[in-house]
Amino acid sequence: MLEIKNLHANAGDKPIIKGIDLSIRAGEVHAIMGPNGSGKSTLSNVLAGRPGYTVTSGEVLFLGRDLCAMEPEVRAREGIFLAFQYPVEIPGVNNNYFLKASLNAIRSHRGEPELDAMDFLKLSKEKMKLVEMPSELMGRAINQGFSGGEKKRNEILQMLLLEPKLCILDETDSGLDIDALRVVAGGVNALRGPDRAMLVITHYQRLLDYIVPDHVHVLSGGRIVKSGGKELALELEEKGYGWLEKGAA
Amino acid sequence: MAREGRRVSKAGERLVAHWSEASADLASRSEDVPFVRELRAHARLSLVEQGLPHTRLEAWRHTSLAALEAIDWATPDTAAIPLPDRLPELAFDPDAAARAVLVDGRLIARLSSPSVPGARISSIAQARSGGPEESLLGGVLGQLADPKLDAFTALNTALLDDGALIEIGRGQQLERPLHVVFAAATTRRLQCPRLAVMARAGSRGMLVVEHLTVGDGPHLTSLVTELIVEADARLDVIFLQREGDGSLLVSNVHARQSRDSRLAIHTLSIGGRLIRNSLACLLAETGSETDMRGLFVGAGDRHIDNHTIADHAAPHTTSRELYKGVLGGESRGVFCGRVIVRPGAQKADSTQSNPNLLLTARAEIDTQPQLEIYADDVKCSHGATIGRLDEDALFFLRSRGIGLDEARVLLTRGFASEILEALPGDGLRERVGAWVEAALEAAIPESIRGPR
Repeated sequence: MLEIKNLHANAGDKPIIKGIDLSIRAGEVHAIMGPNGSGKSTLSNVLAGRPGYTVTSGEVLFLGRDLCAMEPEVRAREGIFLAFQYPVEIPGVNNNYFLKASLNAIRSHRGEPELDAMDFLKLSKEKMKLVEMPSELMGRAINQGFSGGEKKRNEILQMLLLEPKLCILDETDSGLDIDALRVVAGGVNALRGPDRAMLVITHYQRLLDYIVPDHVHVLSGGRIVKSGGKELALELEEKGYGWLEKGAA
Repeated sequence: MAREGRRVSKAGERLVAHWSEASADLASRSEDVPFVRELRAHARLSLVEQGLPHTRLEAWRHTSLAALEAIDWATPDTAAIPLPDRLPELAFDPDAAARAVLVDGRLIARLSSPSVPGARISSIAQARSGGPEESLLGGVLGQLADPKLDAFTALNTALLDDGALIEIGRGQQLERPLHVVFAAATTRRLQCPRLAVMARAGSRGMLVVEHLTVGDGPHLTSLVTELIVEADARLDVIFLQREGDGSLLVSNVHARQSRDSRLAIHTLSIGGRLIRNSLACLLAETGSETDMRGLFVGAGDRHIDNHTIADHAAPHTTSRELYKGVLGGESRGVFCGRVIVRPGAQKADSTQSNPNLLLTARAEIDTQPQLEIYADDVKCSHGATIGRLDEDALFFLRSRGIGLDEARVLLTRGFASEILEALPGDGLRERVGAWVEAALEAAIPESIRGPR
């Protein structure tokens, strides 16, 4: 589904990603772990197409097509979803209105009919239950006045509604207490399936207790320095990142 | 002072001479009661003395009247027939309890329904020639708006003809709004309507003042509004400035508030070529509270200037001010918010905020607060921002499949919504919401075609 080949990328003018190769197939869950500054967030921003992040060499293919040539909204419509580490607050834009506009933009791209207000209400209620999101948050401006946990639930709600093919979770566990973490992970696991892939980016191993990966990669200095199965995450938890970083240097 | 360094165009001088003559002519034809005759005569002198404002005056530094002076207002196109019959479909608020419709500054009785239990709207043209409303008119007209201090107040008063005189009775609680429509119809005509409002003690009311145009113009309107808000009264006034592209509007509002009164003034400037608003609220007695809110939307080469004054003259007075600007195309905005806290006005509490959104590189805003504080136990804060659409928010919306153009529209609408949401009355909010949306859309498209 996703082929990253010898990717080099800058954040602003600064080279951060220095040669990543990664292949993710449908149905797989990959975790990328690494210390601060290793390039984890840059990778997720590059994949989602955030302005200010540029690919300097290498390529990224999504379902066989050149991802880097697509505008961010096209990537989203094609099935890429980034759950943000720091969801932005947008005053004056109603959450419910936004979610419906978003879903309908993606549905019409897929050639499906747009949902009317009633159908959308039904669908959103069903998904909100999964992430235990209070219904009054739908009537508010996007993320405004939301707690940290509510913002993350709102991200996962969007993911559940949009049903992307590739879900990228950027430090989704940061700022969550254990109950919120369980709820958020439950939402993510509800989406796991043979047609969908996930890329879970995290500093800590604890999220991976709830979202169990098939593959774990360690990012350090803009490169993947080690790959393995889910047991690699446990090893990292025990030993820290130091032993791998030395090896990479 | 104004005389020195004066740079008035010949055209401007000719206009003032013409209007002065017109004033004298109007006076000779009218049977005004004595105080009106006197007021008009003083105003005529003030007009000639001041001439039209020019950009060397501090209060007009950012607003040139060259476009106004370039039009020959002395020769209105009387051949073109005004279309008051087209007005109902254009304007009328179905929720209004009472309404006055003025076309080219004259109240049209057959389009108006001026009476409602607890309040009445009468014609100033009638009141100024005597009759039952004379003493009410005397209690408001000229009480707050001083022709000596402002050329357009002088102009309006010198050419005082008609307008709406409104009284909300003592203790009356109006459920539905009063609606005054000023329609400009005749091409190249100056209209000088007047609005005189008395909100009696303990009353509660809402007044919608709507400016619109019939035909392409150009039109010129000088409106002077005087609002007297008595003790414990609560008044909401909504100015809807949605004239056509050829229209120029100068609106001077003066308010005086008594003990524990509450006044909210919402000014929505969403149409026209040039708009100049001067809004002065005198918090004359303790416990009075003013809320000034504005939304101005610029498209094309529209110029919108908002000058406000919150004058705290008594202790425990509160002013809240929020003006938001959205400027696209080559439009230009001006905001100048003056706050005065007079000696002895302890515990005055004032906030002022003017965030602006510039949608294009060629749009411009000049914003400045002016604080004059002569008391020591006060709370005053102010802030202004000038920005473009938030890049993180844009990316967020795009990352959810929403196209760049739509994302820009959503964010711009979101920025303006704070002012809309504060409008009283669901019906009004809905009606105005649609117009604001159209104005925003006119401001945005030119921008989104530009470089990203």
